Parts: sequence; C-alpha cells; structure tokens
Amino acid sequence: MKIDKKMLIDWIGPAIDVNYIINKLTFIGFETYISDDFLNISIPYNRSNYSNLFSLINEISKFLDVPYFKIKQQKISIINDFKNNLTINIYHQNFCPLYFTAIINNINTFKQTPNYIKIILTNNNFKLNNFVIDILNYVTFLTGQPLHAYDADKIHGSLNLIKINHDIIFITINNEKILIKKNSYVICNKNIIISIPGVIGSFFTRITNKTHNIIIESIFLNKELFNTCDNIKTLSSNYFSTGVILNHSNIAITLVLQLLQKYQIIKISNILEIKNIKKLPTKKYIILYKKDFINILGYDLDNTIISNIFNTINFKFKYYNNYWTIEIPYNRYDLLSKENIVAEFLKFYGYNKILLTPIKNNFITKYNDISNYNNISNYLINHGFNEVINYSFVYSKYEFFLFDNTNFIYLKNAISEKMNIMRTSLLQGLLKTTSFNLNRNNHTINIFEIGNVWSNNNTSSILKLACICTKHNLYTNIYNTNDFFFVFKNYLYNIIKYISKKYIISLKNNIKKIFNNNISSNIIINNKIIGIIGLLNDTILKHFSIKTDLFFFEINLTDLIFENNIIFNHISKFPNVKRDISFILNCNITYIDICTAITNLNITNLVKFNFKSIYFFNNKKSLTINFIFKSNTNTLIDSDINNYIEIISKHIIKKFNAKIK
Amino acid sequence: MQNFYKLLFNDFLNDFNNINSLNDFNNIKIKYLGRNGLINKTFDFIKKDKCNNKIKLFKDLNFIKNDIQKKIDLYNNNDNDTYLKYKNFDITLPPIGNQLGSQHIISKTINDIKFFFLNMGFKISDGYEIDTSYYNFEALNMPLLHPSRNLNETFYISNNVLLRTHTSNMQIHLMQQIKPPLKFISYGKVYRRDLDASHTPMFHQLEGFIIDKNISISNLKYLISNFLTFFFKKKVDIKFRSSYFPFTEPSMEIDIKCIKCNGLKCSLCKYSGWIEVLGCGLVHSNVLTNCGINNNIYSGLAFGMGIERLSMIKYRIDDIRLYFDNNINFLNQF
Repeated sequence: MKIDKKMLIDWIGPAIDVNYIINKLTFIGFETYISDDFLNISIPYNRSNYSNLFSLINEISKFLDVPYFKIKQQKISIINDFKNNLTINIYHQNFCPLYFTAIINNINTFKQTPNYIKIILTNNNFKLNNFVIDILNYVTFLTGQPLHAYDADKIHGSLNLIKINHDIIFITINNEKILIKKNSYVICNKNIIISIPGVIGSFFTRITNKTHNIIIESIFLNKELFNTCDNIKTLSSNYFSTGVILNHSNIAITLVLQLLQKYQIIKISNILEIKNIKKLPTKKYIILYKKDFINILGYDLDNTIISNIFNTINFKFKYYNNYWTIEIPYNRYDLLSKENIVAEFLKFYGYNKILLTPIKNNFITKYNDISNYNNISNYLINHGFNEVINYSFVYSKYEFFLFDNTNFIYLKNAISEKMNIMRTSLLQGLLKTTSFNLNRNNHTINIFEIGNVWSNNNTSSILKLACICTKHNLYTNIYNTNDFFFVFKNYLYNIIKYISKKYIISLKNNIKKIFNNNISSNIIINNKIIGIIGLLNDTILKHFSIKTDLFFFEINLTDLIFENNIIFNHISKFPNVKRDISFILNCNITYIDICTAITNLNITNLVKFNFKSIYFFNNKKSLTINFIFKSNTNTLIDSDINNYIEIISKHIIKKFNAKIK
Repeated sequence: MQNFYKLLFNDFLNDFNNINSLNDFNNIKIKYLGRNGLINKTFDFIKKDKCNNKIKLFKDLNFIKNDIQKKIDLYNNNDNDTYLKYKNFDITLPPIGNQLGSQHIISKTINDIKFFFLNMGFKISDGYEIDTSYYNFEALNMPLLHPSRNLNETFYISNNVLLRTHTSNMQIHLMQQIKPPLKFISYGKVYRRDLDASHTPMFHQLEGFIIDKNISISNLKYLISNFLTFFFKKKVDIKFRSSYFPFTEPSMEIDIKCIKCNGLKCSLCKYSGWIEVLGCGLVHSNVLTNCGINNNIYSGLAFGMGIERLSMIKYRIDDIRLYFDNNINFLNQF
C-alpha cells in the first residue's frame, strides 16, 4: 500500500516526524519505507483488512497522540426518495446483513477524474477507468469497502439477493463467461443476474460512456459464508474474503456521494439501508489467564503495565482474579486466541524490552551422519576441488540427450523451458558450470557437487556426489590422458574409504552413452551398482562447447552407509616380508583377473598385495605385483616365503598361460 | 687498504660460486689460503709496510681469513657430488602440487551455523525438497487463499505435490514422527518462483525449533541473540520487531545494525542502517494441534533464516546470482 507523504502530513500535522511513524509502523509489523514521496507499507496477510487508509491511520493513532479518523460530515442535497424508484429484497440476510444503496441521476462519466485521485490509484495498482469507477475505487482505497455501480437505466422493478439452485453461465463486466455454481449467492433483476455480490458485476449493467443514471451499492458480507465463486478472483473478492470493516460500509457510500457531488452537478437519492442487527457479527471475547501470559512471555509483568498497553490498543477489558476478559473490536479478524492477544500486547510493549532467559534442559547430541558428508567435501577441497551448487531444475532435452531417459519429474509452472524438470543426475549442472568457467579462461576445472536428484521411478530423492575434473597441470608431463584416469579413480576410492573402509569397490567396463568407449565403467560395491565413472566423450563435450578432456564420476551417497563401529584390529609384532613377482601376460588379461585368482588361493599369511608397475611390449604386458607376508604367531623364514611364491606363480602361469620374468 | 680487503673477499666469493669440480675447489683453496696464497702475501706486505695502524690491519685481515676458512670448511663437510647437485637450488621457487580447493560459501555458512546449534543440543534432520502441499502449507496454518500458494509463487509438480517453499515442512514431519521434547535444526534447498537481481528460484534455508514444556519468547530471544553474536563473531546490535508468519504467534523479525556502515546508512542496508536477518516466533497452537501435540502442555519456538542472506551480510557479497554461477574465481575466495 502506498500513501502520499503529503496526505499523511496533512492529517497528522507537520509537527510529527514522518520517520518516527515509519519506525513505529515497522515495529508493529507494517514494514514501511519511503520512496518517491510515498510511504510503501507492507500489510501482513493476517491484517489485510487494514489495507485501507482509514484503518491504517487508526493504527497509527494508537502510538501518536492524534484522534481517530472520523469522516467530515458534509451536507448532501437529497432530491429523490430511493424507494420511489426501486425495491431491494435481501433474501439471505445471514450472508448480507447490511446493505446500503443510493441512486444518482444526471451523472457525466466523461468528466476527468481529479489528478490527485489518479496518482493515488495508479500507485496502488488500481486500473484507471471512467470518472464514476475511479471515485468508487478511491473510496475503496480509503475505507477498504468494495463498492459497485450499476447502470440504473438497465434495471427495473426490484433487486433481489438470492441463492441459485443450479449452475448458471454468467457474463462478467469484462465480457468473460464464467460458471456460477449451484448454491451461490447472486443479485438479480427480473431473473437476470446483474452481479455476484462482493465479486463482480455483469456486462449488461456495466457503466459505459452512455450511462447517465447509476445505482451505487455498498454491502457488508459475512466473511465465513463468502466463497461464492472459486473460479474468479477480483480485488473486491480479496477484500471480502479477508473481511471488510463493519462500519465502513456506511461511511464508504456517504463518501462516494460527497465526492460525486463535489465534482459534478447531480441529483442524489437518500441512502437506503437494509440492516439485520441479529445477523451482524456478534462481539467476540477472549479470556487470557495470567499464567498463560507468563508462559508465553517467559516471566511475570506488573498488571498495571499490561492494562496500560491494553488501553493503548483500545481493547475493552476487565481483570478478574487471575485472568482478563478482552472484548475484541469488530475490525480485528486477526485476533482469535490468547497468543494473538499476547502478540498484540508485545507489539506495543516492545519486543526489544523482553528479557533473555536461557533454555532449560539443554542436552548435547551425538554427532550426526549428515555431518559426515563434510568429510567428503573436505577431502576433495584439500585435493584442489571446488564445491559448486547448481539449480535442481534442468533442461529435459539435455537430460534426455545425456542419459536417454524420460523418467523426469516435470514442473507444472517452470520458470523457463530450460529449467523444466527436476534433475536426474548432477552431470548437466556440472557441464554447464565447466563450460561457464572455461569461457572465462579458468582452464583447470576440478569441481564437485553434493545434491539431491529425482526420477519418476523413485518415490524419494537420491543424494548424489559427482566430480568433474580436467587433467591436472601437475600430471600433464608425466601422465597421458589414459594414465590420469587412475589419478581420478584414486579420488573416488578415497571417498569411498571415507565412508567405510570395509567397502570393496570394483569397476566393471560398461559402455555408457556419455563416456568414451574405452574409459567407461560402473562402480560396484557389494554387487550393487552405486555409480558411474569415465572419460566424457567428444559428442557430449561438443554439445556443451567444451574443448578439453573431462573425467566424471557420480555415486549415490544414499546407497552408502557411513561406518560407525570401527573395531581395532590387532597388529602383529612380527616383521613383514615383501616379495615382487613380474608376470608376462597377454594384454587382454586384466589386473582384476590376476587379483581374483590370487585371492582365491587363500594363502595364509599373505596380508596384502599391491600393484607395483606395468609396461607393454610386443602385444604382451609385464605386470609386477608386490606381495606382503606376515604371521601373527612367528617370524616367517625364507623357505615359507619361497613356498608361497611358488604356489602363486604356478597358479598364475597355469591359469593365464603367463611367464615369470 | 680496507678497499683492497673488500675486493679480495668479493673475488673469493666469485671464485667460490663458480666451482664446478673438485679441482676448482683445490685451486681456490691454494690461491687464497696456501703458503704463497693471497692472504699470506697480504700479511707479508703489511709487515714490511711502515704504516701506523698495523694492528688494526692485521685484525681485519684475520677476520677475512676466518670467513674464507669457514666457507672452505663448509664445502668440505658436504659430499662433493651432493653439493654440486643442489648448488643452484632456488628455495624461493613456487611449490608444486594441488592448490587448495574451496567449500561452497553456502556449505561453509551452514557448517558455521550448525556448529552453534549442535553445541546448543540441537539434532540435525534432513529434509524433503519435494513435498505435499499439506506439509508445506496446510499443516503450517497457511490458509488456502494465502498468496504464496499461487502458481506465480510456488513450483508445482502436480496439484498436491510441490517443491517446498521453506524448510518449515520438516517441523511437521518431525513433530508427527517424534514425541516431544524436540530440538532440531533442518536445512537445505527451498524453491520460489522468482528470478531477478535479488532473487533466485532456488535458495537455502536453515530452520530450527524446540518443542518442550514452558518454552517462552524470552527463551527465543536468548537463543537468537547468542546465535547472532556467535555467527558474526562480535556483539551485534539487534532489533526485534513484530511480524506475521502463519505458523508462529507471536512472530518476530530480527534486524541487526548494518555491519558495513554500523548504522550510518549505506547501500548494503538500503540506507536504513539496519539489515533484516531472520524470522522467528513461538510455534502456533494450530500447528501443534495439527501434529497431535497437546498445546496445553507443550509450547515451542521456531526460527528460520536464509543462508544466502546471512552469508551475503557476513562476507558483504552484493549479488545473490554469484552463488549459482559457480565461478571458480568467486568460489576460491572462501
């Protein structure tokens, strides 16, 4: 809501500093700032019935020594008696307990709207229309009371507020067809619906340039029953759904007549009032016990302080032995419970005055699993990786291009076409980030992301970790692209070790669309595929305008369990013995084949065996493996070791047709 | 004579630095310290001279002789090959290896905040980023007509399933699953349909709440005041003001005095002298009831903060879009 600064000063007087009002309004929940000589005031959702000038001024008067707003009574020259022209029948007074209307003749809708009204309306998002509608909107801005005007020449006989008993198509003032459902309230004239009360009028009775006589309507509707039309929302319906202020219905119509008469020579009827006191909202009371007050605040306060604040807020209340009974003003739809009353009290008491009380029963929790992801981050960071965070929504076309997958979760209202699905992998975001950075001459890209991904197959999200890496400058001289893969693989292995040292990882060649055929693999733990690793192929890179080799792996962290129960393993006191064996093998025999064969031998005292070196010659390869032997019970002697080595050598020679170098 | 001594010593250093073999070394040793070496010849020359300050000249020459001797001894202490191998070693050359990477500023900020709340006895709970409108809105006392439920404000997957707009949905999940007392923080990505210079459609929030007996607004103030002092690593001026959130009552928003201009008004605080940092309040009785918690016995406090906002204030970052550009030059600064 925007209020002209001059307008406010006119009312409160020049002696009061506007900045003081801004601070006070902000403190009581109406966040306010000045721009272009207008006070911009954010009205909280629960106080939206305060989005009118009069209510706001009344709120301000609670902390300023200025009187409440009262409309200046001006004489209106009455020419006609309303009842001579039209009869009004409100058949559902529980829905509409208060109805004001007046007839105006000889109005000129061509007349220019005064400039100050135009400025206020445009600043407060009201569309400028003709003179009559602009005046009505201006009064709505002042009072929060929506008003409606009909072309009087189109209406004959009586106006009836009724409930329809079947669905009806209705043409709105904007010439749009909408369906009014059965049991909705409407206003009819001779069986023609001329408006949906509180929502919108009909095209038939709208005010046009040819209109000379109008009927003005100001009504109070029961907030609880106001759900007339779900398929159309208007400014007016917004006001009614949050509740209009009871005594503003009368004020609003009086103001309209005053303004119209101020700017034009017109004939006005008296205001017809239909009122059913029994159906008007009854007074509400809230009981606030002292103990509840203390529980919410955290400590006791003197009753006099509380009473003084209640007086400031204009609450009518009585204090009994240990509780207050508070009468809630009609216009405070937001005050429903004891907590609301305390909150209202605190606004004026001042949140800054509340004392600090330590929380009792503080308990220290155990370290949580989620925090373990930090260890992974820290490991990668310490190895030169940058953590990145990308948007969770990605482009379906690219995701399909990368994974040939269509199990996407689509957004119904995506912000753009290129952000239309929830990501199924972290790859797309990482590729975009890589491309972005390469274009800015950052040629070494080592980035990772930890984030959720979604697919239609899974009911819940999956937490993934993905890394993308160019060749490190450090290794470019000593490794070629193929060899660097093992440096990259080392990061993956170390991360898995961070999660649990018990996990045994294996890579199994599996050609993926995104990877180079020779360097493409599944990551397998306990016979379960937990991710993929490889060298991204040129087609993918070209698509993202990337001209450098990129290694990529992605693992499902959701599938991996952090090791919590680490049990100390006894360390043998006896020395270990190392032996190297070099095998000459055919090139098609993989390192893992040899490893499996050695493991299956189940040689006692073989603690560990490690890869030592490899070189290729004449379609053969020479593979050197380092064996570590150790006993828990005695020192191993040469004959024992030689025996073990012989068993291993013979087995490998026989199984793989190998030679010992 | 003093000038002659300087020249003598400089000549020695030149010769010494140009040693390329053991032969060179022996020749230099003889040239300067041998029986007929330059040092002895100088001693003889001073002896024969008839000058008055002979004692001082002998003394200075002895200093030079000692320095030369020290250098010669140092060379003798090293294995000759090792010495020659590292003779031109420049210790000032840059180190080789991986440069230190960086944690994303958002993760770093979350970790800082987590550290405080873990020490205050809070547990951490993960959250659902895709949730139903019940957990995101209804259970949090947000009426059907609330503007944030519009298609313009919230990303919907279907009529009932959406991307969470705040981390408060976890309050409901946890309150329904675990009996009080509860003391949790939850953090993660949240989504709102907004993209301009100061908004991104995805950002991060951290939410915390306590459900216990006798939780008051005074407790809440204690917690938040201590947290802000911890986070900004200094005592900050805090302003508590009334606000409205459907899921808390009373509700407060908290401003801190601008840490850049100290309240003197600058661009960071939009010339107000204060910066809004978080929202908080006592958990609304309707929310407790929705989760099956007896609001006559238990009460609760809750608070929520935008991670990007807090880190922008702390590190004085002026553009939220930098967070998701992931420019390495930006990331490396933290």
